[in-house]
Amino acid sequence: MARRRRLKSAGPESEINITPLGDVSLSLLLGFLIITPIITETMSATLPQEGSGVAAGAVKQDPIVVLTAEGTILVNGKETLEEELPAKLAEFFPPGYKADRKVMFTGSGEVPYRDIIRLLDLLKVNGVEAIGIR
Amino acid sequence: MPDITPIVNVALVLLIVFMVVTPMIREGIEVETPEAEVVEQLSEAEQNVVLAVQADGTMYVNLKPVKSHTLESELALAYRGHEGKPVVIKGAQNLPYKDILTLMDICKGIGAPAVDLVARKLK
Repeated sequence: MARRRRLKSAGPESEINITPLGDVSLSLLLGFLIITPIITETMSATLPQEGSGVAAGAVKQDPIVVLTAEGTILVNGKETLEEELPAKLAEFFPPGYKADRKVMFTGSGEVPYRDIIRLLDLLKVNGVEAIGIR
Repeated sequence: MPDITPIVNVALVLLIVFMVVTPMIREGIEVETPEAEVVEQLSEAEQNVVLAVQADGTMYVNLKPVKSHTLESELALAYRGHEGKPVVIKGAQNLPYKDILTLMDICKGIGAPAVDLVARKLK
């Protein structure tokens, strides 16, 4: 304080005023702090474990959706068009369906991953809650 | 007037650190993931093991590049302490599904009950 007053009285301010710089950098810092804990968007799928649900009851009631290499969708072995899928799923999961709306899914290895996700997405859009991958 | 030079120094250093680190942790390994309408938001804070595969087949466990023959051991090592949690698979959209299936098999092999497939939210 004293030094500054002395400087002032001695003549013009010789130090650079860093207050605006401090303001800018602190607000940028806060901005970065806020956006850093980010979020990844994912789709979850369960994997069958040896000796768990796959063998018995669970699979019997869950519809099995297959995507073939040619791009045809099979629901429980029956060829289904993409447009028919909502109706088909509604058959399996009538309104008021109590248990988890679960679907088992198998895809051909030749199909691009993009198309697999697109079909899984379609299932989710139509109310499927869980997808098991076989 | 208090001397604010030290606080500005600290703030600038922190700022630079965050500017450098943010793009790295934000994207993780850069992968062109498929798009989907229905996605769940997974907070980075959960710190699940991330298995990334780029379109050219380069694989990463968390941020570490791995070869296919060391993948299983590296993944098992990274998965230690995350038992029961899903493994996050970040696959490039152009990969054939069998590559992803192989990864899912490995995840199953190390005991992961489920996988989370990373997708971009469709705009």
